[in-house]
Order: sequence, then C-alpha cells, then structure tokens
Amino acid sequence: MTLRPISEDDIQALVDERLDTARRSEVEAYLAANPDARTRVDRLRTLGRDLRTAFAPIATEPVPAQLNLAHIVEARRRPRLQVSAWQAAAAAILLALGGLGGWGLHGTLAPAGVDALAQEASANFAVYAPDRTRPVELAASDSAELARWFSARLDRKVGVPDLRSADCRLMGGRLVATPHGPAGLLMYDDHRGTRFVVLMRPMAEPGDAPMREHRFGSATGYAWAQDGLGYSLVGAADPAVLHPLANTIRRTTATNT
Amino acid sequence: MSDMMRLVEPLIPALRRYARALLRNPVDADDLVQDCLERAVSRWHQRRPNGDARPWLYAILHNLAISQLRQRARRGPHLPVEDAPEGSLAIAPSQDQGLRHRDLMAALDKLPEEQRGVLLLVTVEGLS
Repeated sequence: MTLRPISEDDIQALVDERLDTARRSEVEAYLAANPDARTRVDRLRTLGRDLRTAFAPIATEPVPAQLNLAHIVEARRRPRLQVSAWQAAAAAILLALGGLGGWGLHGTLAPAGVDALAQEASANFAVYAPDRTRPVELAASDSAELARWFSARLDRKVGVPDLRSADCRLMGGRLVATPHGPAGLLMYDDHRGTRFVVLMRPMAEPGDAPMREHRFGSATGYAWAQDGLGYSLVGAADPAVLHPLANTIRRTTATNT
Repeated sequence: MSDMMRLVEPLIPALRRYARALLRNPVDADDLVQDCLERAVSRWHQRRPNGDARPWLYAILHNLAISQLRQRARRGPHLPVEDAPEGSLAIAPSQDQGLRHRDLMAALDKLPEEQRGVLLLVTVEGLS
C-alpha cells in the first residue's frame, strides 16, 4: 500500500479534528516516526485548548437584553411599517399626478402654487386641445351653464372670460380633475383654428400671485392668481401672442368676478 | 419567523464569544453581535433554504468584525491588550496562569485581523 504523502494541511487538519478515521491514523503513524512534527502538533493542540478555555466563559454569560432576538425582530418590524406606509402614500401621489398627462416629475418634489397650476393646465391642454371629436363637454352656447357648473364645483363665483376683443372665440369647457381638486377648463380658438385652454381653480393661498411664464415643449403657458383663484393660459403659440392674451384675461376676470 | 428564532437564538452566546475574542471590548463586541442579528433578521429570506444557519451567521459576524477592525486601524492604533481594563479580558487570570494568558492574548493581537478571525473561528468556534 502506497501512503499519500503527509502534508502541512494534514497536520493542521489533525489539530482541527477535520480528518476522517483512515487518514487520521496515517497522520498519527507519521507523527510517531517524526518527533519534531509530534512536538509541533502538541503545541498547536495546547494553543487551541488555551484559546478555547480563555474564551469559554463568555458563552456562559447571560445574553444582554440588547441581543434579545425577539426584540430585534419587533424593532425592525415597526419602522418598516411606517416606511412602507410613506412609500404607499408617495406612490399614490405619483399615480395621481402621473394620471394627469405626459409631463414628467424629473424626480423632484411636485411643484406648488402657480407652477403646479401651470403644469395642470399644460397636461389638460395636451389631452383636450388635439381632440377632434369632443374637445369640450359643454359648448360655448351653454356658457351660462358652464359658469354655474364651475361656480358650484369650485365653491366660488367663476366667470367665463369673453376674449372676442382679442380675436378669440370660446369653444366651451369641462370640469377636470387636478391633484388640488376640481378645476374649470375653458377652450378657445382663434380665426386660424389655433386652440388655447384656460384652467381655473382655487389656490391654497388666498390673494394674488404674479403672472409667470412656463414652457412645456412646444406649448407656452402663463399662470397667475387673483383673489385666491388661479388661472393658467396654455397654447402652442408664440409668447408674443399669448402674453397679451393672458393680460386680457386677467383684466377681464378682474372686472367680471 | 419562528424557524429563525429556533435556529438563531441558541447561537447568540457563541456569537458573543467570537465577537469579544476578536474585538476585545465587550461593548463593541455586543454592538457588533446586534448588527449581525439585525442583518440576519433582514436577510433571513435570502439565505439558502436548507443551508446551515451557523456558518451563515458566523460569516455575517466575521465580515462585520473585519470591516470594523479595519476602520479602527485607519483611525489609529487600538487599545493594546496590556492597557485593556481587567473586565474586558475574557477571563480574570489567576496568578500562575496570568502570564501565559497575557502572552496568548498578545500573540493573538499580533496576528493580522483576517488570520486572527479565521484562527478563532476554527479553533474556538469549531467551524471547518
């Protein structure tokens, strides 16, 4: 029978008691013939025993409360529930905003004030302005009915601006949803058939907000607030056309409502 | 979950022993075991379903310990064993054993962290 040569690994494995019975007796036989190796193994065994003895008492100490596994499981469960509730809320908000149209949040906080209003108006412009079948729900002939509907749902008196002096014809309107509640959407077109929308809804803050220009791709918008009611005009037109139109609406609504 | 309690809880005293042998400071060691248990709880579902919990837990603890020891080494030399408060040593050595015990601990301290960890895992914890 040829013996496999005894390696350093075998000696270490003998000390660590990792050898099977057959190999173990081979290594023991080798040690019997090699006193130096025998001495080394003895020293290693003593060292191991000393280490085990030195650290053994730690494992018999009572486990501190800090390491109570049930507490750790429980502590982990609590904050996680809160986090997932927040995540669910954030997801719901995103869903509500995302449902409005094709604009992106760019991973930032949702806009507020007239910026939010402008985004809502542009989203509605993108959906309803290209609509050839039913761009409005109530036609201009029902403008009195539109004003009543908006006033009832927005819970304040809302007028329908007359922009004929600016060469804009009222097509009609509809009630739309925004993350800030219902809004009135009016649609106008000019003599070339270019469409504009005006979105109106109550603002969180009372009072006035100065007019701001917004760009959404090819569309441009102007948004402002007057006496707590927000307005946003959006159209795919030159600012040179839209800006005076926005001023006209602001002037008209200031006297009308 | 009860499966986890049944498999992990009995191992906590041995995990404390390994952490203390490696870090020496009892407070640091228990904090490390706590980190290890928190990780084990959060990753319990990620471990191989029929895998042995014991080597898995030691591996988590070992990795945490080694990275902490390396951080310590970067921040400056850690407490030499001669200056360690008496209670932080594994046992209060009796007079005739004291010298030998100190030599052993000093020798252990001279090893690189990784080797010290492996030596303790194999020799004291009986992992193969």
